[in-house]
Amino acid sequence: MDTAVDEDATLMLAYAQGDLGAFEALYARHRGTLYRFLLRACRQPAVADELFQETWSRVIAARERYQPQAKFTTWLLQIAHNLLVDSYRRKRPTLDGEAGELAIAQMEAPAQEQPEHALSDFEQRRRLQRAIEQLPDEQRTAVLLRLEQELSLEEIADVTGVGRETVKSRLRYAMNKLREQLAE
Amino acid sequence: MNTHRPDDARSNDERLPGEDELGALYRKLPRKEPGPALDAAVLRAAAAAVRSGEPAAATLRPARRARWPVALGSAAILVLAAGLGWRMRDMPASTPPAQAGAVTVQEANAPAAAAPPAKPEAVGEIQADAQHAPPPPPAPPPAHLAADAVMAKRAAPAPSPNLQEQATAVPAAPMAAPVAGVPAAADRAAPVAAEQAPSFAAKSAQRVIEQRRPEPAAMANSNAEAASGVTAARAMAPLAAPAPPPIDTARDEHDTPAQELDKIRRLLAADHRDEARQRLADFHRDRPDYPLPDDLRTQLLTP
Repeated sequence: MDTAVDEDATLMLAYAQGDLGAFEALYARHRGTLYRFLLRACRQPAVADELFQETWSRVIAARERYQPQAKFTTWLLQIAHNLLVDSYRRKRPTLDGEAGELAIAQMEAPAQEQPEHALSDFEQRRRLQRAIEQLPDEQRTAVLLRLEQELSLEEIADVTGVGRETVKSRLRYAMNKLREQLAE
Repeated sequence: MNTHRPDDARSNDERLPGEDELGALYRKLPRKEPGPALDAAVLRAAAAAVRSGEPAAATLRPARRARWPVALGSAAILVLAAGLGWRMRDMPASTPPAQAGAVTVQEANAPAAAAPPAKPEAVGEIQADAQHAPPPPPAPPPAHLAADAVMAKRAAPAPSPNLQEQATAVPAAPMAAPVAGVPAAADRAAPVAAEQAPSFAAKSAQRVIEQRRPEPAAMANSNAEAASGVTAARAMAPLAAPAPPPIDTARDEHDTPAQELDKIRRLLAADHRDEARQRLADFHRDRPDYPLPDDLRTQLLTP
C-alpha cells in the first residue's frame, strides 16, 4: 500500500460519513478542471453544464460505494468520460465534418488574409482552441486529459478504458494536428 | 489506501514530441469555470444527500414502506376471497331446497294440471330405495332427496355412517335438510315414512333436528326467497316429531288436491299401486269436478 495519502480520497470518505465540508473542499479542488475538460470536450456550454452537474450527482449518489482503490481524479474523470461518450453518441452534427471545417475556415479568413502577419498570442490561443475542437472525439478527449488534467498515459488509459499504446497513438496524432494547425 | 501522486506518474511518463510547447500554450487558454448557479446546484445536492441520510437506506426504507400496503392488501384480498368462496360453497346447497320449496308452494296453490310431476330423480331414488328395502321395514328406506344427502355431507364434513343413514333414512326429519326445502321433503316423504315406521322415523327426525338446528336456521336467514317456506317449516318441524299422525297418516283432510295427488304419485312410485289406486278413486269420488292429470287419470281407468 502506498504510504502517500490521497487527500481527495480522504475528503470523499469524510463526505460519505456526512461531512459536507469535505465535499465542499473536494468540489473546490476539481470543479475548474472538470468543467474545462467537459466544456472543451463537448464544445457546448449548455451540454458542459449538464454533464458537469450530472457527474457530481453521480459522485454524490455513489459516495457510500466509493472505494479509494484508485485515484479520486481518475474515478471522477471516468464518470465524466462515460457521460461524455454518451453525449458524443447523441450529439448533433453541427460543427462536424466539412461544414464545421468550412465554418471555422470562414471565421479565420481575416487572419489568413495576412499570411505575413505574425500571430499574436491571442490568435495562437484561439487557433489552438479551434484545433482542439476539430479533433476527433477520442483524440480530443486524450489531449484534454493530458493537457488539462495532466494525467499520465496510464491514467488516461484507465479513464478512457483503452490500452496505454492506444492512448499514446491518439495523443501523437492529436498533437501533430494541433501543431500543424498552429504552424499554418 | 492506494493512492497515486500525479507528479510521480507524470515524472515517469513519456513525453510526446512538442507536448511542452502545446502545454504551455494550452495553459494560456481562458480558464473557464462553472457558474455560481451550477456551483450552488451541486452543493445543494450534496447537502440534501447528507441531510436525507444514507442513500441506500433512504431508498430502501420507502420501498419497505411501499411493500407493506401491498402485502396487507394482498392478505385482505385473500381473506375476502376465502370468505366469499366459503359463502359461495354454501350457496349451491341452499339454492335447490329453496327451489323445491317454491315448487311446493306452487303445487299448493295451482291446479293439479299445472303442478309438475314429482321430480324424476327424486322419484327414482325413492323407488330404488324402496326396492332395496325389506317389505316389513324396521328402518324403512326413505324417500330422500339428493339435496338431503348433500346437506348431510355439508353439515358434517366427516359424517359417520350412522349419521348418514339417519339423514337418508329419516324422511320425516325435514330439518335435516335446509329449512327452505322442508315442506317439499316433508310432503313427499311423509306418506311412506308414516306407513312404514312412524315412531322410529319420528325419533330419528327429532334427533337429527336437534343436531342440525343451528345451521339450517342460519342458512334460512340468508335465503330471502324461501322465507315463507322457512316459516312454515319451522312451525311444522317441532310438531311433526312428537305428533306424527298428521304426517304419518296417508290421507290428510287438510291436504290440498295437489298435495293429495302428489301423495298418490308417491305411492305409485313406491309401488303401492293398490293403495294409490284406492286413494285416487276416493279422490275422484270426493272431487269429481277436479281435473285429474293424465297420468293419474290413466291409472284410474286402468283395470
